[in-house]
Amino acid sequence: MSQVKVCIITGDGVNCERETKRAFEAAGALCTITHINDKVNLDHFDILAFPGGFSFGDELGSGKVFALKIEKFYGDEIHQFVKKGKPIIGICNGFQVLAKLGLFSRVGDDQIKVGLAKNDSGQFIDQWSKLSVNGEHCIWLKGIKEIFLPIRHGEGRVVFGAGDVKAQTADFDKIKARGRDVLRYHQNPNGAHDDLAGLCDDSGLVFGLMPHPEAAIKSELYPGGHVLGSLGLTLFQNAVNYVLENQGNSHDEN
Amino acid sequence: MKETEFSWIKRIEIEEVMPSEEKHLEQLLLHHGIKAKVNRKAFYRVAGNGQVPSPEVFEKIMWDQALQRGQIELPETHFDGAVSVSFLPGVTDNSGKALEEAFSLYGHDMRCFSGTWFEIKVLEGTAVLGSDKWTKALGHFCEEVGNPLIQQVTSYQVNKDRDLQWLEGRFKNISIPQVHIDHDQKVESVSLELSDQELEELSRTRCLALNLEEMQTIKNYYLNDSVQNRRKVKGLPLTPTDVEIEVLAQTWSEHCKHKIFAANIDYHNEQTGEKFKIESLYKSFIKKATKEIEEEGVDWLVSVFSDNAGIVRFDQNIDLCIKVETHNSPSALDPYGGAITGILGVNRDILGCGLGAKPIANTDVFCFASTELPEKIDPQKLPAGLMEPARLLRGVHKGVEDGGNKSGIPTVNGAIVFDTDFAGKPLVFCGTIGTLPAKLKDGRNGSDKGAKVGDGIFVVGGAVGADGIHGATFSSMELNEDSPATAVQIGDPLTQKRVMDFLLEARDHGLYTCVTDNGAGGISSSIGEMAELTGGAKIDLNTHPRKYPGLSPWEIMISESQERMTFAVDSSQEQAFLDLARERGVMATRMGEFTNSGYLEVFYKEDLVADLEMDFLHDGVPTLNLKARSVSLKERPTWISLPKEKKPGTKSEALEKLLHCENIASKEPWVRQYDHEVQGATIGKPFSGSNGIGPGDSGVIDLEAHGGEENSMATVGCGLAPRMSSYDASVMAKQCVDEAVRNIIVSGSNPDKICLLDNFCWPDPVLTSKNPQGDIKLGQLVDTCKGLYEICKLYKAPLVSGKDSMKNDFRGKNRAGEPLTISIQPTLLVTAMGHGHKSELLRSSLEEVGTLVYRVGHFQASLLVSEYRENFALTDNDLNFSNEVRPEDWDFNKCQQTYRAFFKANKSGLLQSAHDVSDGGVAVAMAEMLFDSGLGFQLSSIDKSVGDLFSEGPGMILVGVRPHNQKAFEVHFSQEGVPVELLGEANDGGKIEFTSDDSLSINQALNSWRRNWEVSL
Repeated sequence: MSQVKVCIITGDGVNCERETKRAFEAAGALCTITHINDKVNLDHFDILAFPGGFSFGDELGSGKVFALKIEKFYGDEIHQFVKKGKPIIGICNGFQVLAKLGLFSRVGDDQIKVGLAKNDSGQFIDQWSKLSVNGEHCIWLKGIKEIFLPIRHGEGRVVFGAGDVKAQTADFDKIKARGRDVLRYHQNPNGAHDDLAGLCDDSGLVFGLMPHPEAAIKSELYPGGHVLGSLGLTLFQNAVNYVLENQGNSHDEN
Repeated sequence: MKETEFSWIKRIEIEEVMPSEEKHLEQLLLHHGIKAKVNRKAFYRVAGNGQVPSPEVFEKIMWDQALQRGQIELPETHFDGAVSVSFLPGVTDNSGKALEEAFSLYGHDMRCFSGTWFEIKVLEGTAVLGSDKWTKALGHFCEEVGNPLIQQVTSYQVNKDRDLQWLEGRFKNISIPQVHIDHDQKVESVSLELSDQELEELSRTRCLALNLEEMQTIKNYYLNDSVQNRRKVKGLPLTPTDVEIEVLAQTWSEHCKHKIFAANIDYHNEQTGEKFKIESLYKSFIKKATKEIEEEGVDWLVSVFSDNAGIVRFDQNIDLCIKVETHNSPSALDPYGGAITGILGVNRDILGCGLGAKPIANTDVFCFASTELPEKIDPQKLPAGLMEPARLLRGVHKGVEDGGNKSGIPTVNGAIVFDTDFAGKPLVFCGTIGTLPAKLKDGRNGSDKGAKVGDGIFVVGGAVGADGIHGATFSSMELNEDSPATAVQIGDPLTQKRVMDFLLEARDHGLYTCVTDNGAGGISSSIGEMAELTGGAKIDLNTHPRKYPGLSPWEIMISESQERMTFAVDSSQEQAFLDLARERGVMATRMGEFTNSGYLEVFYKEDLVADLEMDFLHDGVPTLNLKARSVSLKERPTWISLPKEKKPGTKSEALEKLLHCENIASKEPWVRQYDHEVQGATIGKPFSGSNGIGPGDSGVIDLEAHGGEENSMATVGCGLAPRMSSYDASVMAKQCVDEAVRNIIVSGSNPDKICLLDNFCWPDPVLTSKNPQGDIKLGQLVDTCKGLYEICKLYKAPLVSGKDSMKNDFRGKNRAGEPLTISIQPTLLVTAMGHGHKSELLRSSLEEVGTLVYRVGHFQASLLVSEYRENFALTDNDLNFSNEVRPEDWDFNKCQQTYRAFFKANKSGLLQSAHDVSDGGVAVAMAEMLFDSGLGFQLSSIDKSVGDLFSEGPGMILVGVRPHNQKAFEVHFSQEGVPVELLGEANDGGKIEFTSDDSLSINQALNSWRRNWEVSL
C-alpha cells in the first residue's frame, strides 16, 4: 500500500501550511506544500488541503481573491478531484476559499446560497470552542462525537439565503436533510446560522470548517494540557485511512 | 499616470446583506442624542482604459452574492447622512491593490482605490436633521472613523442641497486620488556657511534633528582640504548635497545612533553625595553586564548587539533571535498606521537577522493614559491636538492585530499599562522572536552575514513614496503640532508576507550572502550599514521603483516606505534570485554593488549625488557631554491627579475593585482579537486552564514544531514598572527584570537559560533651558542602568538586544489654550526569553479540589507603589503594616535563590500549577488561579492584613501542590532555604473567603476581572 499524498496549497498570505503539513504527517501522509503560483498536477495527489491564513489580507472578503486565482489556475480540476472520490479540506481561510469556489452551494441538483460573513461582533476572535459532531456523512469526522478546537477568525459566520429570510430556512433545510450540517459550536461565538462551525458537501468528501484541528494534534497544544473529546489529529487520520481503504477500490475500477 | 490617461472611471459600492453590528458608532451618535442605524459599505473607484468591463465581470471579481450586494449605478437614498473615508493620494491602499491584482488575473489593467462609506439613518426625532447637533455629531463621527493625516474624510447631509447634489452624482462625477508633486527633482547643494543660529534653524526646518555641535561638525568636515580636493575631482559642489546632508541626519539620528546612551555623563547623586563620570551608559552598564556574564560561563550567546536582533542558542538545532522595538511617535499621530508599521517593522528586523530568521511569535506592550481620563477630569485640561486614550488604544490595537494576524505570526505575550502620564505620548512596544537554523543546508551558519565586494545590492518589496520620509529624525524630536504628516504610513501585511515567504525560500536555496531590513532611514541606513561589511557601496537611485513620479533623489534615499528588505547577492546567483522573486510575485531591483572604496557613492542616473566617506558617516558624530543629577523624588511629579475611590471597607471589596481596575482587569476582549496560536506551536497561551479562561503568565512556544530538539520549548515574558521610577529608578530596573524573569520561571523555564532585552522610553534627558528637568531625568536613566547592570549580573541573565526612545514628551497647549507639558514616567520594558522542557511546562490554574496553595519565596512587599494605593484614597497610616519591606530594602538575592529552588521542585514533579504575584498582590494572584475551574478557596489564616494581601514586591510565586506531594514539597524548600507558606486549599465552595464574614464569590470576581471594556467595541 503506497503512502497517501497530500497537496497543501499556500502563498499570497496563507499561513497555516506548515502546521497542516505536520498534522497530515502525524497521520502518516506524505505532504507537498505548493505555492499557488506553481500550478501542479492534482492527479498526483490523494488529498487536497486549503489551510488557514489571510490570503490577500482578507481584502474584498476573506478567500475572495484567492478563490478567483484558484479558479483561474485550476478551473474545473478542483471539482474533478472530488468526482474522482478524493477528499478536500478547507480550514478557516481554506473554508472561505472553498465556499467562494462554490463547493458547498450544490445540493443535489439545486443551488443554494451559502457564505461566511463577518462575525456578528465585527471582530476577530481567538478562543477554544467545544464542538459537537454530526459526522456520519463526512469522511473526515468518522467516530468523532465531541471535539475541542481553537477558532481564530474574523469572518466565520455561516449564513444561508443571501439575506432573504425564506431562502435562509430553505437553503439550510436542504443542507440539513443531507446531513451536511456536520459541526456545531456549543456556544455560538460569531452568530453562525444554527451554531454551525463546519459543513461538508453532498459527497461527504469536501469538508470546510472554521476551527483549526491542525492546532490540536497533541495534548500539549490544549489550553489546559489535556485533550477534551477527540484529538484534532483524528480528522487527518480519518482522511488518510479513507484514502488507504479506497485505494484498492480505485485500482479495481482502473 | 495622470487622471486624463484613463478613459473611464467607475464607482462601486458594496454592502453586506447580513451586516455585523455597528454598536460602537451607533453608541457614538447616541451620545449626541441621536438614535440612528449605521450601515457600513465598501466603495471602490476603478479606473481603466478602453472598454468598460461588463457588470458580470465586476460582480464576479468584486463581491460574493451569498454575502454582498454590489451597486454600480446610483441606488435609492435611504439615509439621512453619509460619511466617506478614503485614502489621500499616495497613501498605501491595500484593498485597492488587492482589487487591481484580482482584475489583472482576468486580463484587466486598472487602477483601483478603496474607501469606506457609512450611511446613517436617523431612527427617531428626524427634527434633528439640519441642526447644529447633527452637524456636530457627524463631525465627531468623522473624527472617529478617519484620520485627516492619511485620509480624506467627508460628511454629507441629505437635507442640504449641495450635499444631495453631490450624493446623487457620486456614481458619475468621480475623481481619483493622484499624487501631484510640484517641486523639481534636481539635487541641490546645501550651504553651511551659516551662523550658529542659522545652522540650528536649518536643522529644524529640514527636520534633520541635529544639534548645533553636529551641524558644526558637518560644516567643518566639508571645509577639510582633502574633502574639498576629492569633491573637486568628482565634480561635486564643495558644500554637501541635499542627499548627503539627509543621509548624515538619518545615520546620526538619536534613533539610529543612540547618542544619549553613547554620551559622556557627569553624574552627581545628591542623596549620597556620590559623583562619577560615565563614558557611554551602553558600554559601562549594558554591554558590560553581558560581557561579564559571558566571561563567567554563559556559553549560549551567538550574536549580541551587532545584528538586527540578539541571537542565542538554547537548542542545538535552531538559534533563537529576538528584538523589541518602539513605535511611539508614529502611533501618536496615526495609531493604526503607527502600530502596524511598528509590528511589521520588528518582523523585518527578525527577517534581516543573520541570513534571515523566521518569525515565530510576536509580543506587544502598550502604555496609555486611562481610557476614563476624559470622564474623570475636566476635558479642557487634556492636551490639545492629541487623540483621546480610548481612540489611541483602539487604533494601536487594531494595527498590531492586523500586522500580526495577517502575517501569520502568533501574538503570545504582552501587557497594557495605564497611567495618566502617558496622555502626552503613548508607548507602543512591538517584539518578535524568530528561529534561525544553526546550520543552513549549504553549511553556512544561520547567523552569518557575508556581503562581499562585488555582490549586487538588491532591494526587495515595495516601491517608495513620500510617505515615511523623516521617520528616524522625527522620532528623535518631541511631539508638537508641526510633526510631519509624511512620517505616518500604513503597512501592507500581504506584501510583507510575500517578501517573508520569498526570503526564507531564497535563503534555503543559498541565493544571497547577506540581508538586512529597511527601517528607519530607509535604504540610506540599510545599504549604509551593509556597506560597512565590505567598506563601501555604489548605487543608482533611479533604479529604485517609485509609487509615483516626481520624488527627489534625497527622498528616494531616505524614504521609509515599508515592506522592503535589502540583499547582497553574489553575481552568479543574481538571475536565480530575480527569477524566484518573479515567481513569488515579489518586486526585486538591482541598485548597484558593494565595493571597498571606503565611500558610499550614490548616483542618480549618470550623476554622482552623494559621495560619503564611510568613516565619517558612521563614526563622525560627535559625542554628547551631558549632566545627570540623582535626587530623591519619592513622590512622583505629575501633570494632573485623578480622584481616587474611598478606601474599601472589607478585603473582599478591595479585591473586587482591584480586579476591575484597568491595570489588573483582564484584557481579554483585546487579547482575543490577536491570533495566539497560528503556526500551531503556542503551548503556553494568554488564556490557559482546561477551559481556556485563566490568565497565562508567559508565552510558551514549542520549539520542536519549529525544528528544534525534542521536548524543547521557549518562553517569553515581560516586566515594566513606570511608577517605581520616581520612587527609585534603580529598584525600578530590578523590579522590571524580576517580573519578566518570574513570568517565565513560573512556566517552567531554566534559570540558567534566560536572556533579556532592554527597551528604554524616556522623557527628554538633556538639560536645556526648554527642558529644565533634563538632568534629573538623565539621573534616573543612570540609576536605571546601574540597577539593570546589578540585577542582570545577579540573575546571570545577559542583555542581548535593546533600544531606546528618548523624547517622549508633549509640549503644547491644553484644550483651553494654556501651555501644557506632559512627560512620560521613565519607562523600562524588560523582555525575558528563556528555555525549558515541554514536559515541565506549568500553567496557572488550580484544577482539583484539595490542591494546596502555597506562597513560595521571601515576603518582600510594600503598598507604597501598588495598585491598592493608586486606586484608593489612603492615609499614610493605611500604608504601614508589620510585614512591610520597602522597595529600597528588597533583596533580589533571595528572589534568585527562590527561582532555582522552584525550578528543581518542578523538575521533581512537586508542582501542579504556579502563578506569579504581581499587580494587586497575593489576593489578586489567588483569585486568578481559580478563574478557569471556578473552584473556591478559604484563606487558612485569618490574621492576614490588607498589606499582606495587596502589597506588591519581587520574588513571590503562588503554587498549587497536590496533597500527596505536600511533605516532599515542604522538605525540598526547607533544604533549599526558601520559605514557603501554606495559604489554604482549593475547595468546591465557589468563593474566596478571607474570613467567614468576608468573602467574594468566584463568579463575582470573574465578572469584575472581565470588565466590560466598552471602549473595545
